[in-house]
Amino acid sequence: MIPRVVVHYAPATILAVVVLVAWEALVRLFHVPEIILPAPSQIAAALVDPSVDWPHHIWVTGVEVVIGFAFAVVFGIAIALVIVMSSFLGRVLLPWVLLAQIAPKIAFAPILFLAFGYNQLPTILITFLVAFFPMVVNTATGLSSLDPRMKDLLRSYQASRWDVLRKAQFPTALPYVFTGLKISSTLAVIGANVAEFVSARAGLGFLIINAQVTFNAPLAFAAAGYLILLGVLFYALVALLERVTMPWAIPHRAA
Amino acid sequence: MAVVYLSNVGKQYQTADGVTIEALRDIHLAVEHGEFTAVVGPSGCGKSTLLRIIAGLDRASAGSVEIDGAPVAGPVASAGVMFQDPLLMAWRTALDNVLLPIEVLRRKRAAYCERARELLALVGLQGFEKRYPHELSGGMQQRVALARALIHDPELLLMDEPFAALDEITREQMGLELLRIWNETGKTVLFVTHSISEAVFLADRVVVLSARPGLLRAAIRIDLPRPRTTRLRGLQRYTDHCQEIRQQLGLIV
Amino acid sequence: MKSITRVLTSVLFAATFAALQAAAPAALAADKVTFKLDFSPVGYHAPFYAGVSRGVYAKHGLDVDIIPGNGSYPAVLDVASGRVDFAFADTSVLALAALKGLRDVKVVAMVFEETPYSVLYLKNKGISKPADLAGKTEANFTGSGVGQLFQAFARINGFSTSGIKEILSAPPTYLNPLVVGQADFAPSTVNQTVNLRGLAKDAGNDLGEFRFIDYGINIYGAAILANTKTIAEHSDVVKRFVRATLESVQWAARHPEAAVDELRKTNPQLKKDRALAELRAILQVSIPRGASAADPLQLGWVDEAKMAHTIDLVRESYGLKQTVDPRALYTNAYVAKP
Repeated sequence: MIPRVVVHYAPATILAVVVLVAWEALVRLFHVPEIILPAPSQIAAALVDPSVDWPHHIWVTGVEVVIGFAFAVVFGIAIALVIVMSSFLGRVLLPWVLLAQIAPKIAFAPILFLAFGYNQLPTILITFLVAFFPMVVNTATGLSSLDPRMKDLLRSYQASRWDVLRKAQFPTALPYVFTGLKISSTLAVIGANVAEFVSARAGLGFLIINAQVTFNAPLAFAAAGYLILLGVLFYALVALLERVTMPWAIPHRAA
Repeated sequence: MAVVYLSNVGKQYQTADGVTIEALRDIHLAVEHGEFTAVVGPSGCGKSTLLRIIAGLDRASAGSVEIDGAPVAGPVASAGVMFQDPLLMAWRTALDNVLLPIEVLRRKRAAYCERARELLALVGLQGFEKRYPHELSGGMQQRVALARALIHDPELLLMDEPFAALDEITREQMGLELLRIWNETGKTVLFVTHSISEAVFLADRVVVLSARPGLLRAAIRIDLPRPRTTRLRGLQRYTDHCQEIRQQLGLIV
Repeated sequence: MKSITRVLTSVLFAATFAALQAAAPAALAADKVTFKLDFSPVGYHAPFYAGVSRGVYAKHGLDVDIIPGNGSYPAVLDVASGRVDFAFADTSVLALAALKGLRDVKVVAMVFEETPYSVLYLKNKGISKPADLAGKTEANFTGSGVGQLFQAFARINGFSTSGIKEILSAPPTYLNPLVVGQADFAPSTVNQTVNLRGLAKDAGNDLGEFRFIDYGINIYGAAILANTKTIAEHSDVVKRFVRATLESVQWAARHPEAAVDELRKTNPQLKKDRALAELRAILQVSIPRGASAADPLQLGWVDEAKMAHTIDLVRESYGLKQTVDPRALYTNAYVAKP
């Protein structure tokens, strides 16, 4: 009897193995230059290379991601609340929110480092800026998605605006918030990476740049691999949190 | 004294393009204690608006609205409301949904827990207290909504086409259930529907509204014995009442 | 009696010393300075990292925080804004900034006496001399300093750049088109070339190199930069920093392998053989007197004529009309004349 877990993940795993084998074969067969595309075997060696302090670099980037993401969640939800509860403040804030999202962080990152110094503060700030827009939009949409008749129902029991918010809008918004969290968590990883590309002393983004300038493609790919892993881990944690927090949404959950 | 008293009630509102719509005009209505009153009319006749005004969710443009002798200025705790959509909170169990009004009215939840269970049993959902709405059928959800409407023991039950979304068989069953509960609780019911047969079957009195503007055409006393049974639908008097209403609505030429 | 006197003297001496220590200003503790590099740490940064790990800076009373860089231009701007105390950046980039109006940054010590810039080319594309580059395809990235100086290289070596096609990609992988043969040549630096040629050979491509210094371009390379304000207000710190850095440079020139070992203490992800090759290439081309100079301070000397020539070449390459006094871009106050 094959355990259910094995059956569930077998197809994806098999596909991954096939891709890796094909990759290795093609690189060798066509003598693809290492600095263009290294073989999986080389990347694997780099992944476990003891001369690279992987735990340190993963930790550095991980901390940036977690803190930046945490701020993105807190501020994102707070701003969404303001936008939904006060249309005046919403009109005032929304352009700034949009600006934070659309402004190319690569262009503004050097200015932030100039202002705050060459440390992790600007990196966390950039991570925050990259990650917080989905939180705002998704939370605001969720809070506004309440059936107006539910509002009527609550009003018929003399509910205040605060009652409606607490009892109906927040729980209605929860699935949307989790969608926002999923998107934001992956964006936080990208944001930290972008910031590290501009300036860093350590971290996975730092390693990628350093590897590239020394033509060490296996190292660059390995660092990228750990970044991907970091992103996947975050996503999985959020998905787990969602399942635990919203037992009633089980039949409706898609991802 | 009438529980609900409407005098000269009119309702006008402006649409987005500035057109004035007269939803209701010159409505006179008195609903007595323990009475089951149905309001029937074509779509757009303002029957839902009428219910909303009585519930305090909308204000009348003209005339006076009184509940228990007091003018209605906003939502009152002496009414329980039920809509076409059960409007249950997906994240709450059936029991918690029933207790929602208690929380909003800031009363002690613990004092009403037992009552909530009783009401769920009353509507035939004993054992389903811990179920989530997505685990219940449409009819069962409406029963939870009914229990919710009764939890704070309101004098008045306002129902806006509560069975419209159900299939006909379930509809008839729910109607019988409603009559049973009404009989046991002795509430005053105002029941809005677009189904003439349903209005006749359930009510003591049927109020007929016409459309655009909403005018009160007639208030017909239903001469059928209680308790109402499905068998009564075969009586001539039943058919006659239905025809009478159709006539009032101008459907019979 | 004599022993008591000795004991008392010692006690008195110790007490005085302790009192002096307590009363002395905080300057006795190491001065904290920030030092921004031109790029992400590579082999030729070994002297600086070795200076920290071997305690050379500490010996001069300096606590140096080395910050990895992302280009000479940002490093120049960092010094100009006061965000960092010192930077290691290319003199031609400083010249460009000065020509555009920047006034607050000076060279306090030269390090790369000669520029490490070069042109990498594919031998199998019919290129054997610079003039053969005309009409060929170039791999480059926007904002490349060496890429722009190529204009002067072309003029000096008698060919026109007008027919040259460009493949632009993002640094630091802009050389990929050259490696796969899509481009025929690319501007580069000798430290990049030394490792790239081996890697390209594995891919079946033989790369040749025209080093700028071999083809008529004698300009300065990277130097230690400081803000004029720092020079005015903390001259002593600048003096110590220059001395410690140049000492470290000389030591690295004499012990390149040990220098790379020191570098790899803080940057273990760098491969030893590649870092060593990078350092050796730079030492040979850009710091030719590194090991032999009698006094390490001589390594930092700036010649006015050569500075003027560097500025002129930048003016020509960028097509700029304005001028700047070469003496405004450096000070020899902290170094020694060779």
